[in-house]
Amino acid sequence: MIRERSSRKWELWAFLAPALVVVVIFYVVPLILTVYTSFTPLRNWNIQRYATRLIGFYNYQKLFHAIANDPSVRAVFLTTAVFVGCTLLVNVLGGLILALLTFFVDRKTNSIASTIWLLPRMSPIAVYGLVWYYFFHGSGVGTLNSLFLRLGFIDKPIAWGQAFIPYGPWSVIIFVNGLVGVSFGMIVLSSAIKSIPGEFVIAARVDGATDWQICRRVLIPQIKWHIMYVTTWQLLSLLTSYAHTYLLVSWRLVNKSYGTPWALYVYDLAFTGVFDQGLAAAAGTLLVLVGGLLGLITLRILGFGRLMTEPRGDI
Amino acid sequence: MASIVLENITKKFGKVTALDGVNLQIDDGEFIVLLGPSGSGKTTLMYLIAGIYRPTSGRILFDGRDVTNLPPKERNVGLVFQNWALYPHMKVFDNIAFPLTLKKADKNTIQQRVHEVANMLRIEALLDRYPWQLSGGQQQRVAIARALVKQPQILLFDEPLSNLDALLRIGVRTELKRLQKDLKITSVYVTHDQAEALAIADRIAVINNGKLIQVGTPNEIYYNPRHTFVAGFVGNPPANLLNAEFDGTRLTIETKTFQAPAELLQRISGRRRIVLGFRPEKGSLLDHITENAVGIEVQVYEVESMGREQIVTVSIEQTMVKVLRPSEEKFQVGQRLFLCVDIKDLMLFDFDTNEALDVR
Repeated sequence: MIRERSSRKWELWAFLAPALVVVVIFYVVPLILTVYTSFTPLRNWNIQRYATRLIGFYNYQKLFHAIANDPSVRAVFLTTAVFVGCTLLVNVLGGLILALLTFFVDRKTNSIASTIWLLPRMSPIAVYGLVWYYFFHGSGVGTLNSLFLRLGFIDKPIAWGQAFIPYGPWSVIIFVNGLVGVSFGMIVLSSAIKSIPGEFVIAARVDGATDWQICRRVLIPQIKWHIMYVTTWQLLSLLTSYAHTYLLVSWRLVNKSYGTPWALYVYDLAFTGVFDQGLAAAAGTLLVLVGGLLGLITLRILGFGRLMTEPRGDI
Repeated sequence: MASIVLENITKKFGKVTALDGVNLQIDDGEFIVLLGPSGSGKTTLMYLIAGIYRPTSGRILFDGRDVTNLPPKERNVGLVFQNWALYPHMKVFDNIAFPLTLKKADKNTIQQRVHEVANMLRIEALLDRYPWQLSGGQQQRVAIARALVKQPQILLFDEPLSNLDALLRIGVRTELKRLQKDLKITSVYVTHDQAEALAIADRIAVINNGKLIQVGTPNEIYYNPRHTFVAGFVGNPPANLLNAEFDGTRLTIETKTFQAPAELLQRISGRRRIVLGFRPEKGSLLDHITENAVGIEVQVYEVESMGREQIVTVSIEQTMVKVLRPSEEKFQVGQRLFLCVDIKDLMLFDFDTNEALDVR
């Protein structure tokens, strides 16, 4: 009996092991190293000299002091909030709207539209970035500028990502990132809608519901959990995403301060300019803490526990 | 309250013809059952009446008014689904009130009307619950309440009893019929269950492969089927249908031959092949052939008890025939007997068209 139980335990661990190894190597160990580094004065990758020295919360003091006093760091802080909030809205709302639209159009149009919206996801980040680099480019060559010039909306080219601070750069990074994320929500939510029995929609139609009323009163309430899942997922991935903004900033398409979200700021601290890995580690740790906290809050709001235990549907 | 006229209705989905030239008149206050196997087009026909689908050709009239191109909401029909389609995120009250809130009715009217129908269907105590907290029978009442609350001129039922267990089904069936008689709402009821159709309908419209085969009262459908499909679909067990050859005087089933009764000659009118039919309860199994009956030698194949009655399956060579006999009669497997059917109980069908052969 005991032997049987212990062998079952072994089986369980054997199944979990590959996933655990990956999580430990690529998440837990780096996290511990990061937290440790944030308590050292490590800079210029001079590990021999700095990595063993501990300086307490000095990096964190420096970080909060910068947030409070350095306008460029404050800009980064503000940009992160606006960027994450607005892009999240674009991602979730855009995904929801597309999912609902695809529900009402025929299958052929549907699959063509879905494929188009998947393109940003499928194309390499650099290629995708380059497309929008030329679209928003500040010279007359830029697509948007040449279009507006021809239509007579503007009389000289505008550097969209550098002008109208902070709204210009914010709009560009939100637009570019928003477009990438929309497809995720679209896929999850449209498959959720497809799983709703057709009778619900027919019943509502017979009762006189318009398309809008069907969306609002029948479809959306039934995919509430999926919407919340997409929101949580996108919130956390937006907090830590920096690839697209990194390219746009380094190509000088957008203003550096107002085009840099926190994750990119962490990267900049560690790998460019000041090469202050200790400070970067502190900023990174802060990001992990905020992300963890927001994740917990959203799961609490969603009632994730209830979702897991409560029996739903027909009994 | 409204009468319904379906004029030459054809509905195609791409290359598939779901309905083919259907003509049907439904009187004001009538309870009509669309009966057919799955895929016959009965639900499509109901959705056409509801306005979910538009016919490929043909017209639909309510009380003489052409509604062919009106959207569902302008037709004022109530629809009850097989799976009841109650919104899981709404309480019973909100489910029932849903059609009224879509019309933006005022709060007092909604309260009053919901309580009215809930009271009528005896579900007032359940208004504060969610659908998944209800039993099947209760959910069904809620679905009917939701259909009734908007005071429809036509009620449509899409196999509403299929998801209930057998015992409950018979109870609800009676109540439904009574409710319809009390409210006098023109009702169209779709089912594949012939027993349900016979029990509940004022008239039955039998439909198969998108075509209307026969429309009539339950008695007409049962005792006077106009087509072998109707005879072979209605009844439990359904009518026996036997291919017979006719040589001018004698009928032959497989190798068994008997004199064709004079009464039938006119109806057969020289056809070489016909289909003979009779209801299982009209057959008797005796050791001799009775008067005014046709008889044929058979062998008992199997006996199944149904309590009050028993189904005796007998074989004429390769052909199996089912006969319903009282349980007092005793039969043994292998026993040889005469299967006798009164001449007046015989049904005759054309071999090629499958249509009934009339006395002319």
